[in-house]
Amino acid sequence: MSARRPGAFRRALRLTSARIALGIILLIVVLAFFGGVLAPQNPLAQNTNVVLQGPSSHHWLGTDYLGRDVLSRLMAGTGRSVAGALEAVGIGLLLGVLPGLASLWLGRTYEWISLRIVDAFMTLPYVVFAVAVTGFFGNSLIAAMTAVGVLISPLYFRVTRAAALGLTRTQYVEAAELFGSSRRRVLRTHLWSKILPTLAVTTAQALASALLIVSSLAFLGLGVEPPLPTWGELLSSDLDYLAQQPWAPLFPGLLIMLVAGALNAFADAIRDTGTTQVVAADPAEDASAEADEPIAVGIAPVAQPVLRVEGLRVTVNGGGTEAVHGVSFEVGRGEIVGLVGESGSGKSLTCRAVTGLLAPGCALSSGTVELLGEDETPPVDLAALDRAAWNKVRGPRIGIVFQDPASYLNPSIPVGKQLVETIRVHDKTLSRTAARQRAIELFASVGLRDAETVYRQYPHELSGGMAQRVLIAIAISGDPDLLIADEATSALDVLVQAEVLDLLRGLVRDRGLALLLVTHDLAVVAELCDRVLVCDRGRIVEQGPVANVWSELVGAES
Amino acid sequence: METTISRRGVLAITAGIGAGSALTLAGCSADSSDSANAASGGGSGVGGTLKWGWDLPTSWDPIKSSAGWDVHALSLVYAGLTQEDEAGNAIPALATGWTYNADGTEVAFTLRSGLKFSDGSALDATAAAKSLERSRTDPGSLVSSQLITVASFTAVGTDTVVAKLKTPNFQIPTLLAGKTGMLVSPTAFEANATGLSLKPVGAGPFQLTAYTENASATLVRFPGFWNASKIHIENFELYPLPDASTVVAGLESGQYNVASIPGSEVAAAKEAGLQIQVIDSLVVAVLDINDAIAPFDDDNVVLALKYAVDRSALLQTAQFGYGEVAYQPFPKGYVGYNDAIGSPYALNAAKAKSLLAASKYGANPTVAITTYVAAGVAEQLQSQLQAVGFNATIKVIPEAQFSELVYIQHSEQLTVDAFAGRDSAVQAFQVLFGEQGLLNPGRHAYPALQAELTQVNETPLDSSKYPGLLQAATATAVKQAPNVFLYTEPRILARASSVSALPEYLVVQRFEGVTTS
Amino acid sequence: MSGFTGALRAAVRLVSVPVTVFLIATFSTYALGALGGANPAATVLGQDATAGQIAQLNHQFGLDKPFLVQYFDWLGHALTGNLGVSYFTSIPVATSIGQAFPVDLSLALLALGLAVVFGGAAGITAALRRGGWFDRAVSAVCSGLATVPPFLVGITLIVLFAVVFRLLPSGGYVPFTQDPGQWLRFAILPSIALSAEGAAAIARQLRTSLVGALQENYVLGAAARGLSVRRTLFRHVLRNAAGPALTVLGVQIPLLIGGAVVAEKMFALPGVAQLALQAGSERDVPVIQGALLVTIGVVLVSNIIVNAVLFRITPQARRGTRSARRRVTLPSVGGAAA
Repeated sequence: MSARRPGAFRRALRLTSARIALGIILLIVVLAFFGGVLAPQNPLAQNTNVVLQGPSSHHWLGTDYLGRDVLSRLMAGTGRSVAGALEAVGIGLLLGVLPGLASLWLGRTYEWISLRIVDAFMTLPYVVFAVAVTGFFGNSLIAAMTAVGVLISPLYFRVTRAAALGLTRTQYVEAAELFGSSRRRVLRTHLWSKILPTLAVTTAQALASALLIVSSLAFLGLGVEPPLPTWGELLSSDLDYLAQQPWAPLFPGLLIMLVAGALNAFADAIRDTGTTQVVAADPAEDASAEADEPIAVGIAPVAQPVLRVEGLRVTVNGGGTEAVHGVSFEVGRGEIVGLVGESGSGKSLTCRAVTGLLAPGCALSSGTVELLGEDETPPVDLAALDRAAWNKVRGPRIGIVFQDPASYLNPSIPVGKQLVETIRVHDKTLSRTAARQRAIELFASVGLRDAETVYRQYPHELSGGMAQRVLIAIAISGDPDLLIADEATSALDVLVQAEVLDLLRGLVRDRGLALLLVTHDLAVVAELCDRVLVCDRGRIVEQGPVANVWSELVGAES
Repeated sequence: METTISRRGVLAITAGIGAGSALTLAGCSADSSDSANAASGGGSGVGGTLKWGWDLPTSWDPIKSSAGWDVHALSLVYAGLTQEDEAGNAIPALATGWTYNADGTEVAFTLRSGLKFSDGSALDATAAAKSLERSRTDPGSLVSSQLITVASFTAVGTDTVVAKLKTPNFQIPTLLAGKTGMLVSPTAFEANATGLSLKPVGAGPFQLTAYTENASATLVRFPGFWNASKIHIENFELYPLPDASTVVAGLESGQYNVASIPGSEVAAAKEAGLQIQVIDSLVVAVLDINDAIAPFDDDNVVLALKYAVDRSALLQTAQFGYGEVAYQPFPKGYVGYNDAIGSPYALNAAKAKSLLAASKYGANPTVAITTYVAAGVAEQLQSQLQAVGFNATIKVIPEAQFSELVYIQHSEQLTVDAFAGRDSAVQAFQVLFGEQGLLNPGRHAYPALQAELTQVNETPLDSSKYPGLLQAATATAVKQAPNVFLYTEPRILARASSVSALPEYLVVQRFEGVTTS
Repeated sequence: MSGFTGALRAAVRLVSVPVTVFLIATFSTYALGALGGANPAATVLGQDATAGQIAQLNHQFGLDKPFLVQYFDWLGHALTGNLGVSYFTSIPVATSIGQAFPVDLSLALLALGLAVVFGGAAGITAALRRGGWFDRAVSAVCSGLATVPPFLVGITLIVLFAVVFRLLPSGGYVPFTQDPGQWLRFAILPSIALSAEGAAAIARQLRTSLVGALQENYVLGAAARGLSVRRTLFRHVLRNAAGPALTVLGVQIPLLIGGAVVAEKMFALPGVAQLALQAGSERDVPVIQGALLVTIGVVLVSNIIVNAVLFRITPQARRGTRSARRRVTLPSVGGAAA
């Protein structure tokens, strides 16, 4: 027998909320066993002289309609209320877990029938069912809880089945079976340890639900066994005397809420700590923290600059670390500038900073980024733009394409429609038909044969190259001055890559675009770029025409 | 979840009892007037809307109505040959009077002339006889058992209805004053009997114009009502029983202008400036005792029980004290009430203990208190019984099984119940104490009582001997039978000050003379 | 296979599930009731019952037949549209339910609308301002609402609006078709009470889904194209991320209809749930079965609708493989209706 015990509970307890929740639960357990003993007065003692009184020194929570002490009844009622909920959940567990597991192994017929039975019970209005059950078994707490348990069992059935289903298809279980482990062994060693946390979460939630259902049923008179108190029954009788004691339902109500809340919080803790933490993608990768002396690299002035970056600094980790240490460069009209470096060099961060698309936690800490227009239009300070202002820049002034192009499009809308949307957002005068026409022309102009068909396709139906062409079409649809391509061809195979690069070159030439190409691929640089900026550890260590820098590049790479 | 016994379902009782009074059969009550004047709606100050939060009937067809409580709603749209006065005695209604033959086996009712049902069809003797025959013989009629003594109803001429009886029985006029005697338009039930449950056609003070089950009923004054000149309300709206916690708010906000409120709400209602009327009714809370099974087959135990119950404490809990402690089945003011009985079983714990000690079951017999309302009276009763030594537990049974277990199988030792009376006093006795009476689960026969009841049957209601004979029967029953009467359950009505005082009828709430501004 | 047999098979497959579910559900409650030992005829007759009358009435109700025969009799009649007549009111069951159902329907729609509007707004805002105070507040409120005993919300509303401030009626109902203004006066409090739990569930689910979806690349892509936050959110993200929230919404519908028994009792609403409860406690078999029919029908229909909508908005890429997991499961009892 495996000695591993699920660490889920221990992990959960690291959270403060879980610890508080557990504390409350333990308190309730104590009350469940000793509530009657600990109660200040006899919960059954009637005294018709003091009915329906408010809180006093003698009765901290007042008295009920027979003069009984409310606090004592609440405490004494803990055991029965909790027992009722436990019983319901226990029955639910029993009736749900085993059939749920069995449904995966006993064949299709059993599976189909058991699923239908589960569906049937899930559709029954629980009250009618509870009434039917209590009619059959008698109006006792046990009968009512049995009804609730039966109605909870589908939940367990489905949860167990889903968890087991997910697991049976994992490789290690299949492998285990492949290697001849008996089903039972597989079940024991693999499934239980994985399913247990799920069951624990479900049980905690089911207990909370059962408590609430108990109170509802008691409100309707089911499962009530006078004179022994339960919380639900207290609530129910409180409602008869609401006019005399409007605050009375608060006490049992809050108690129920407290316990249900604690159970849910505990369940949440188990669930939240049980899943592996998704490490937030850190675009800075291993950015260095030292602030070295910046190596002065002369900025070669460029004729007709479109983008001017000076002293750009980018911080990551919420401002804790600087990853880009004062980068400066320009990109001119009709130029193709390559921004090269290994991963971690800061080139992507620079690109994101320039386009205003930094991930949360990253910030442009200082420097200027200016977008220069033709003739006398004033330069736009890109560092100072808010989202609304950026919406007017991205598209009409700057176009951007990314790696893995299909993922940057809405997967559930045809690509043509997305292009039309972009067109119409930036040019509100165009009619839908005109925009559609324009879109098809754009698709054709980026080399998509059969533009009409492509128009109707979804992103996932396109090949990598076609998707990138679509993204490029979208990027240039606003007739921007600057096109930024972040690893645009890195995911494409060589032939397609060549075609896309051709396309980009053509666009630069025909439209006078400035193109900033971020890449780690030297072949691309050699193929396409006029100038190249070499990034290393957050700085531009070399820039100049490709030919000049080439040997440096090659040297650095080897 | 009221602590008072629910009135629906279980207690399928027809309300009303009959009793003799000083009134002559020719009926000269101030309310009766010539039917010819009924047509004019021009009584002074007819108008306004009365909104009554009370209860909606299970069915608008009186023979299909399965709850005795329905009689109040049904009396809004139906009238009978007779009706009851404030004290529960029979007085003329659609009939001007009645005459018995010498030996009491035949009674002839004289119908007013020119009467019509709300659908315009004539209400003559033929129609009346047809309607009464339907009540008596229709296979689905739930009131037919009340008419066992009637052999037939026939029409003689256009204005006389004759009831031929199998045995002498002078109770007929009071019997026909309630749900049993409500006249339904034959045109309606011959055309569409099932539709009557939703659309009644009668000759009562109002007629139904709209009905949404469980939501509301809208009625308007029926100018053709024989006593229309006394009806001053133009519109009537009937609503289901309001919830205790919100009824006062409902009255204040104008959702109702008259509503039934529980005793617990009286103080709040008064504070809100509403008028309160506590109206005696026939409903009495009672414990059904099965003296054929242990431990109640020992008379000492039964007696101990009677002395152990603190009735006024129960009354306080159940109704905040509104009502009277009861040791007999009828309320004060009713002809069957016997003053001489007094308080025969006033609380006496010591006596109860000694009786138990003397019984064959010892000082701690086991008793299960059967009820379907879990909280309230049952809990208190248990505590009271335990105080004198009973080993008392509470057994909660589903409402649906109540009749079966308590009345049919008579398997329960002690049941918390209520009795809402009968139009005919004799029938009330039979239900409570008759050998087949459902509230006599021990199925005891009381020959002396039966003899007295036969005498009552054979005595005309207006005879001077009647009250005495009836009260003698009451005394016998109280002494011999194990039924433990607890307290009366009056009607507590709160009304807005825009509504005039309501007449205080014992059996059925009526609205003659009521105005609303 | 030929198109016809293929279509036929598909139709049978589609129908077989709801039909089986329906049969099992109605049969099990029928069975439980029949075995319960209640005697409706005796209850109807009450204190007037004689043995002969009880027998006759039971015969009229068909209760003297073996219960399997009774069940199939009922089933046969139900399939032809004849739901029988109530034992206690002699009113045709179809009529009673026909009057009660629109009450639930109108309230459910209003409650759903409120849940979508408030839950949706809360969930979206919380996702957009993830980690901020609003997000935490929404989380706390949602957790709180999930643990509130269903009728506490209702009681609070009644006490506040009907008893203390006298603004709204505490109970009763006027059909929408009769007077929309009055209908709203009666419907608003119960709808708020009913929507509370749904709003919390939707907010929570939507927030979770959105937080995940907002990190997807296509959101960045939309920003790169110059689309506004509003457009991105409503036209792109919600469309893709609303699936689970829609499922949650779908689960609410049957809970609101036929499950809202506590709310109906508190607010004196003449709906199907309280009809069923009353019938259940009296063992008015035709009404119980009729109410069951309606509630099951609602569940099944709403499932179909939600599944259809889900299918429509699911990105085609995922339709083949993940559709099984996306399918709506029928409502769990855990979400105990208000």
